[in-house]
Amino acid sequence: MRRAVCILLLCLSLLPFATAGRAAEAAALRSVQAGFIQEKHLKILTRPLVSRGSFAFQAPQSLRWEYLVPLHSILIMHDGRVEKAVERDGRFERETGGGIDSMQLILRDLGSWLDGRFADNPMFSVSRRDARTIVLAPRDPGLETVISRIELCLGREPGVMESVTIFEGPDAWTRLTFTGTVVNRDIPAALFRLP
Amino acid sequence: MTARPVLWLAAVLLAASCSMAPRVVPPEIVAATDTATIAPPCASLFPAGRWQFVHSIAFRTAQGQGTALGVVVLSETEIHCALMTVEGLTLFEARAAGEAAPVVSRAIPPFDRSGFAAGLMRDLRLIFRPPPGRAEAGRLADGGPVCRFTAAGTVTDILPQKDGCWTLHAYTGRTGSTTIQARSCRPIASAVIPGRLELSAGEPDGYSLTLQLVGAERLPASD
Repeated sequence: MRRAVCILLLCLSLLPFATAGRAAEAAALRSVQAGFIQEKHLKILTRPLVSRGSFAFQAPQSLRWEYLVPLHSILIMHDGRVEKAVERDGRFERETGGGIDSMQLILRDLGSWLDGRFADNPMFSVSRRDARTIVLAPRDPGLETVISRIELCLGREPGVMESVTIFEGPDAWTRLTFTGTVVNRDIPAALFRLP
Repeated sequence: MTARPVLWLAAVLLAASCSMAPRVVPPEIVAATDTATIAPPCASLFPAGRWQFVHSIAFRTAQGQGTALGVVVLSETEIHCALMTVEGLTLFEARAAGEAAPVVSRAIPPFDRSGFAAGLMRDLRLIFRPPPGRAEAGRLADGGPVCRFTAAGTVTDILPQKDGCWTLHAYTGRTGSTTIQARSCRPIASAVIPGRLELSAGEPDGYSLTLQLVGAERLPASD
């Protein structure tokens, strides 16, 4: 499970770079904000399970990852800490417990991803399917049982990512489609605190 | 979802273990009524036919709390379920026909532990299926109606409410008990579907699950 959590956080951590697009643009990246629509596809589902939310990233290592529907939850990575809260019955409750250490491991890689150096991370091999599609494949067969590959679809405009698709298997994948990406706008520090 | 809450989720959904907990006894039915009249309506509180449900699941134990998303697909003969993190990672998927042992198609540790799938299916059957066993009906000491289903080793009481919701108490063996409270029930596709389900398993392995309905869909009759 720890490995699965690491991979999940890896995917989230990739997104600031991903939404910022190519390495040349990412090199000057200070912040990224965007909305997203998450579609979870499973064979068991008659139609995808749709979640909506937004995220904000600020260099070097601050991330707010927030779902608004169907469940309001906020994940914060800031100042070396990782915290999560979920809204229940109208108020936020922190998700207690450990496992945070694995998230911090992922965050340490964030700097290299922001520079577009995907290959620095030994967990995945990196290839380009075409000019706009980057494919990350796990090197470890054990990891492959959890996530078979990740596809990053670059936007037509520099600095914009269209989508990230995380494949778990032939009948299970999650696609994040980004909207309204804003790059290098100042973000209030309060955004990186849980309510 | 962080690793430890997931561990707790796995732990709380495991079958209740044997314990030194005090014996739990079903309350006495003080006034028997026409079982043929009462019991069928009790069974009708549960969705019939093919359905798909999506819930957010909040779980609590003495050690902590966490959240997941759950998908359940019901057919006349089978329960198919999946658990995933809010972020979309599939943690567990399995299906079970009738009372048969579940067939697991995906289980990320610790969801691959022995007993997890069976325990999860047990809770799902309690929530979504009419209880098995011999039916009788009547009233409890407080005057409330009750349907009682008695099967080998298990007594299940259903207390229907006036608003179409219900409370279920399942007594297993000498000490095991589980209570499910259905709330905010509303009609969907000719069935009455709870908007919220609160499951509480007794001590010593006490845990609670709160299932908030995200979506309910009646599916076509054929696969």
